[in-house]
Formats: sequence, structure tokens, C-alpha cells
Amino acid sequence: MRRSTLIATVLVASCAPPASRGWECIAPANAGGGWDLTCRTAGQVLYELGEAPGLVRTTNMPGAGGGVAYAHTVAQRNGDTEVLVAASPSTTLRLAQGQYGRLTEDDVRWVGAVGAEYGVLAVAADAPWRTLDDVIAAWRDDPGSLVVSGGSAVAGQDHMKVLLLAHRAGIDPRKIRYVPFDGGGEAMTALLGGFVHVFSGEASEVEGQLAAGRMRVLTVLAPERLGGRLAGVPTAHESGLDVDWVTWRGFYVPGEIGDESYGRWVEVMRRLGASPEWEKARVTNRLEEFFLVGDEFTEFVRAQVEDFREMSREIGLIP
Amino acid sequence: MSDRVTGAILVGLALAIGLEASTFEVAFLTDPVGPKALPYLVAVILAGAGAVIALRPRTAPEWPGRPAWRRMGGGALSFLVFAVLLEPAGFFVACTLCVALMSTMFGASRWQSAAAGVGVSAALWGLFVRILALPLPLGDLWTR
Amino acid sequence: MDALTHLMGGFAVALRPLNLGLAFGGVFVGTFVGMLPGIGPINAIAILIPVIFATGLPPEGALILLAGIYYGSQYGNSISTILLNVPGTASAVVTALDGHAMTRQGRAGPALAMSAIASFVGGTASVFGLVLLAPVLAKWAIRFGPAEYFALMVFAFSALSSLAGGSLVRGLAATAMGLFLATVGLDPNSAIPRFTFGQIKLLDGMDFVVVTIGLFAVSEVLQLLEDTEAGREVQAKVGRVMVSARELTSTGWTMARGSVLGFFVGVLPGAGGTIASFLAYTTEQRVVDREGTFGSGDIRGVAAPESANNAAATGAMIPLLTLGVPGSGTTAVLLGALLGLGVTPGPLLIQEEPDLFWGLAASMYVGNVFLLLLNLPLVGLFVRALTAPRWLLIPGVAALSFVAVYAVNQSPFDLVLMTGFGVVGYAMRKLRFPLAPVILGLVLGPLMEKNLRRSMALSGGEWGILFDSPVALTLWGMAAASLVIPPLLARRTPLPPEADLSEVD
Repeated sequence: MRRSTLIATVLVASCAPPASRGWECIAPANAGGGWDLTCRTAGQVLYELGEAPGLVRTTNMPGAGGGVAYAHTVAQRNGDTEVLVAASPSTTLRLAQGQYGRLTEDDVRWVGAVGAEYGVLAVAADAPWRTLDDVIAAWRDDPGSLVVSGGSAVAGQDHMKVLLLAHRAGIDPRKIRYVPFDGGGEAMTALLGGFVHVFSGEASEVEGQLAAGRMRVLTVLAPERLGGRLAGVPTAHESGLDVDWVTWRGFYVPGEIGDESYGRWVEVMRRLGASPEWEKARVTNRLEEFFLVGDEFTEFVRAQVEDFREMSREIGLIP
Repeated sequence: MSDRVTGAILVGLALAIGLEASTFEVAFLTDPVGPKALPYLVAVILAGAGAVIALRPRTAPEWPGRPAWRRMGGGALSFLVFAVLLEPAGFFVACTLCVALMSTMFGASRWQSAAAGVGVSAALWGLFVRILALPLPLGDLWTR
Repeated sequence: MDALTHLMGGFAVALRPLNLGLAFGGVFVGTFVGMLPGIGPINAIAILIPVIFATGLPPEGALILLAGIYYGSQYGNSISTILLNVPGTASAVVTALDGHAMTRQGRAGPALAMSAIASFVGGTASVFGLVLLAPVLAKWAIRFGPAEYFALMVFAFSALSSLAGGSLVRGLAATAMGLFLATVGLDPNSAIPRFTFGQIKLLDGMDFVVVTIGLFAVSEVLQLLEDTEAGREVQAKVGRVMVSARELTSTGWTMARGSVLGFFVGVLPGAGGTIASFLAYTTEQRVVDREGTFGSGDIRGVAAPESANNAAATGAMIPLLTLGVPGSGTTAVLLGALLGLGVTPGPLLIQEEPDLFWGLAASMYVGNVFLLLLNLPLVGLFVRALTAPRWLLIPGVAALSFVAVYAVNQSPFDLVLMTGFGVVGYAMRKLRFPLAPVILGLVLGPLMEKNLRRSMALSGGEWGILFDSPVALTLWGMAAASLVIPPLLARRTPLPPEADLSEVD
């Protein structure tokens, strides 16, 4: 037995493959989610543009809301110049809340964001609240009177949106009632079924119900009004609350790849963002234009993590 | 005897679960039930069932003899070999060794187990990497 | 009748040569991908979505292809479950109980054929349900709130005793273990980690596939290794390949009940195929299992979950298409695909895209026919695979399971965990603990806990909310009945011999 396995080992080792393995995009979640889609779509376009040396492989690495992939990148891929990892505010939020262990936003390098969605607050079409101001007024009377549903866990993105709004309006965020569901779809069903009063989610999630006249979107958490069906919906700024929720889609790369490789990735992202192919893919995937690369993006991420950290501390989620 | 030991293990597990659950501290409570309720329920069921099993043993399983333990040990080891070697040594080494070892445990000859190891590895590589385009590691030892 | 006219129009779409080819291709690919342990419909679809986008198919064509992959892979999953005791999805776990028992008795052929036929019946019956009831059911599903879900879970757990095999105490202990595994990970309602011991990889909780393949497949390998030595090795018998007429007629009502039950459960978002197959199996056991043969190779124990499971897959399309709400992981992936194709599912879909909706419904029927035509002839081939020498077959399948789990999760840690569950599973078999309740606890536990906590959060701690609606009350009544009635019946009929689920050889 020992000899046979030895032979096998030699046989196998002798056909070890060459070093270059092409580009890889790590989606830190299961197939089918937002990160997965980011990787697969951007990978496809990078290949079509001839930027990538071949097809870009997408690797799914689910776990701990991206924490597994983050730790993997830092610990095992730190000098790998051919790997991209998909990221979103879910990444920065968890970094801020210390859910990636000791790792911080400075352990990787942030390449760029290539598209975004915006957060929305919606109610059922026959609900008494017609504007964001109505909801804020109801909260002021009694913060426990409204129940909000969302597709993310407590302290996750959908929860943070309402907490931020309440906080900016001077209402104690800890008194806001939030019920987490498994994904935006279920959270929306709970709204349509009359079990909750307000739905916190993403613009793309509400489109179908909006078209059917079953839901009313009270506000979009964007710097300016969105287009399409949501054109008539005011932003939170119009109600005097400076809250944006940009669900950006972007990438980071390992921390120790050197300035040259990092610069190359930044240029690649710049060309991706400028290409009509990406424009088309972005629209297909219901993403708004949102483009930040290099130092600008890194600053953006740092500021966002800091914001989230302060917010989470304020409501007592972290010490 | 087996049942008494099993029952004791279950009761021990129940205690551990209950103790660990009692340390859960909630910073931000959104529901009146809280995260401790289900673990406590589990602990109660496990402790109850464990006590019944320990106090009223029913079955005396026929544990296998030493040669069978050795085979099963080899089988479990072959799984661990795969898990441990996969990323450092790569798919081919891990899979070949794992299959060859397990195959030997099932009574294959040297050449049979070697053939099984190499054949299965090649077939699985073709299936996952070539057909399904799911990446498998080539081994950090060789590619760095 | 209006619906039927539309359906005819749908058939015109489905029978276009391109769409026929796509339905066949989807079913074909799905069957083979689904056979790989641990790669269920979700992964099959997610992997193929970019390919489908790249081909530039029209939306209805792409959707027909995806739906074909969906139920094809579900059936493919039953093949590896029945032949090798490797259930790759939660909904196939109960199929393993009787399906694999039949394989051990040399009746793999009839088991596979039955599974194909039951899938066909479930799939076909539910397509008609989809066509006739979609709009009504969509409204019903919305009214199903956390309290109703909680009552449904209680009902599902009340069926536990029929999965427990001989000993209720051991069944309870096994369920508690499953519930414990279910609590591992980050608690979504309070954002604190439970039982993760600082392991970042445990924050997402126990992966169902890791637990199932460990408990079932790895422990099976260990058991086989034990038997090899003892000289008790049973060489796989091939036997008959088709079901007999008697088997077919004896399962007629089973399949009918399974289909109806599966369809309605499938419509509920978040419930899906697992609950459907568990409920169908346990219901059927109470209704027809007079001799206590369920769990030891009763063909009805294959027919019930298989018909329910496929009916549920169709039922799950209703909330997806009419509400835009995905009812399961797989339909969530389908939703992403639909949006990418420029189709917004929702209340207006049937009016705005009649070709798509009715074409899909008709093609699901066509796809089910293909599934049957494709798979009945292949049953013999699959069964013959079992006659490969054991030293090649078992390590090959074991490696396949391991690679599949790794390819999906990229985590060697999961493989170690899986080996650990294999050892635990082996010990449980030896000590006569049933394995299925562990999966019941693991899969339904989180649903039960979450919905209870959601109900309480909604009511502000008022327990009355759990008994507030007629639907919830009905489910509570059914749960009570399923606990009370079987013992009463048992008193009148002689006690059945103990079905022993942990028996292996």
C-alpha cells in the first residue's frame, strides 16, 4: 500500500501545472447572491473587454457575512496579484462592528466600486403614512408604534437604514422596533400581509410591487432622486434628514500586492467603468451609476467604516 | 453499558449547552423571547432523554472487533487526509491518497487501490473543473 | 375555463422546437448535476445562470431551461439518495429512509422507477394547481404570517414520533441534537454569536449539506467498512428494474395525497420542499402503514416524499411569479435570473407577460414528461453502477461527496467537520438513534425559533398572537390530532413491529 501511494504521488506531482492560473474573483457568499452576481458579471465583462488573460473564475466562499473570505484573503492570499474579492456596505458594516475578528479595513486594499443600489423605505399602498415625515411624526409620538421589517439580521444593512433615519431625526434608535426576515422578499410579504407597517429594503426589490400599485415608497436614501418608476419619490434630504444608503458593489484586493499591481487593478477598474459593455451589464442587473476607484474609494471606505462604527457604538451594539 | 455511557454523555452535553447559553448577553433586544430560549429547551430535552436512556438501558449494540476498528479508523483517516492535504498539496495528491487508502481498507490490492486513486482523481477533476467550471486547488506547495 | 384557454396558448409556446429542446436540455443537465452529492438545485442554477445570459435566449426560453434544471436536479438528487444514501438536499432525507432500504434489499430499480413516476405525478398535478389556483393562492400565502408559520412548524414537529423509529426517547434526543446544531451561528434576532467558540467559520451556522453528508454518507462508509470485515458483505443485487403493476396501484392514493399536500406547502414562502416531504411521509405513514413497514423498504415511503417534493417545487413558483417573492433559496436565485432577463415578477406578470407565464406552466408539464421518458430507461443503468467493485465504488462516491462539498464552500474546515459528523452518525446507528430527526431539528428548528420570535416581536410579548387566526388554530388542531389519534388507533389494532431506522445492513 505504501509503495502504491508513493507511485501515485510521484505520478501526480510530476504533472503539476504552471504557475499562472488566470484571474479569480472571490464571492464571499453562496452562488446567487449580490456578491456572486458582482463577480460573475464583472468577470464576464472583463473577459469580453480583453482585460483578463482568460475567463475569470468565480469562487464562492461563503461564511460569516464575508468574514471567511476576508480572513482567507489576508491570511492566505496576501501577495496574490490575480485575485479580486467582491464587497459591499455589508463588508464595511461588519468591519465596523468587529465581526471580522481583529481584521480592519486597512488589512486589504480597496480597488473600486462599479455600481450601486439605493435603500428605500416603503409602506403598503393603503397605509395611512403618505410621506417620510408622517412616519417620523408617528415615531415621535411613540417610537414603538410602528414595526419595521427588513431582509437583514439585527444590526445588518436594512436595520441600520432605519436606525440612521431615526437617529438623525432625534429619536432614540433603541426604541425602534425592527423584525428581521430571511431576505427582502419575505420582509416584503410580511408588509403586504399586514403584519408589519414599514419595509426597509433596496430600490430593486420594490419595483414589481410598486408597478402593481401594492406598495408606496416613502423615500429613497440617495443623494438625488432616482429615475424610472421611483422618479416621484423624494429623498430623505428633502425631509431634512441627511441619510444616504448606498449599497455599492465593488472590490478589494490583498494588502501586500505592491503599489504596481494595485495601480494596475485601479486602471483595470477605470477602463471597466468607462466601457459600454459594463454600462449594459450594470443596467441589466438594476444597478445605478456609482463609480469610485483608487484613493478616492479607499477614503470613502474608511469614512464609511468610521461612520458605521460610531453609529453602532451609539446604539449599544458594540462597546 | 453502552446505553448508560450514552445517557451520561447526553446529560453532560445538556449541561454544557445550558451553561454556555446562560452566558449569552444581548446588547440589543428586539424580541421578548431572546436567544437563550431554544438552547435551554434543547438542554432540557437532552437531559431528560439522557437520563431515561441511562437509567433504563434497552439495547446492547454489538461493537465490532479490532480488525474492523482498524479498517474504520483507516476510512476516517482517509477523509482527514483529504481535508488536510487538499489546500497545501492540491487536489490530485489529496484525492489520490484518500481514495487509495480507503480502497485498501475495502480490501483492494496495491495496484487496484493506486488505479482507483488516480482514476477517480482524474475523473473528478474533469467533472468539476472542465465541465462544471468549479475551481479546485492545485496545491500551494507547487504553485508558489 | 379562461385559464385553460390561456394554457393552450402556453402549450403553443412550449411546443416550439427551441423551447422543447430547452426543456429537454434543462431536465437532462439538471438530472446529472443533481446527482452530484451536495450540489442541489440552487447551485446547479446559480452556476449556469451566466452561461444562460451569455447565450442571449429570450426570457421565456431561458426560464423554461432554468425550470427544467430545477426539477431535473431535484430528481437527480433522489438518484444518489436512493442508491447511495447521500441525500444532497434536506427534502431528500426522508426519501433515503425507504429508498435506500429498498436498495439494500436489491430493489433499487423499483425504488428509482417509483421516484421518477412519483416525481412525474407530483410535478404534473401541481402544474394544474399552478394554472388554476395561482392568483387565489398568492393571496392566501400573503396572509400566512409568523404566527401561522410557527403553528405549521409545531405541526411538522408533532409528526416526529413517526420518524423516531422504535424509541421515542431516542427520537427526541436526536431532534434535540438537530435543534442544537440549528442554534450554532450568529443569531439574526439579537446579532450575537451562539456556540461558535470564536470560530469565524461557524458564524453562518452549520451547513446543512455538511451535516447530512457526514451523518448519512460518511457514517455509511464506516458501516460498510465494518461489514466488509465481518464477512457480512451483501453484494449489490440488481433485481427487477421496473415497478410492478401492484406497486403502482398501491401507491396511487399515496402519490395523490403527496402531490396535493406538497403543492400547498410549497406555495408558502419559506416552507418549501423539506417540510412538504417530511409531512407527506409522516402523514402517509399514519394513513396507510398498517403493517409498520415504513422505514424498512416500503415503496410508498418513496412515493410520498417524492411526489410532495416535486409538487412543492412547482408550488414555490407561485409566490415567485405572482408576488415576486421567492419562497426558497432556489427560487431566490431564479428571481435574480428573471430580473437579469428584464422580467419583473409580480402581481402584473400574468397580464403583462402571458406568453412567459403560460408558456412556463405548459413547459413544466412538458418537462415532467421528458423527465419520465429520460429517466425510466436509465434506471437500469444507474442500478448497474452499484455492481462496480466495492473498493472502487465506495471511495469514488466518498471522494465525489467531499469534492462537491469543497467546490461549493471552499472550506477544508467543513470537510473535517463532516468527518466528525460521520463518526457521530456511526455511533448513533450503533446505539439505535434514528438519524432523520436530527435533520428535522436542524432544518425546521431555525424556522420555528425565528417565527416564534418574530411573532413575539410583532405582538410585543403577547402570546395570544399565536392563536389569533383561523389558519393558525387549524394547524394547532392538526398538531394536537396527530399527537392524540395515532395512540388511540394503536390501541384498537395490534401493535406493529418496531420499524428500525438505524438498521443498516
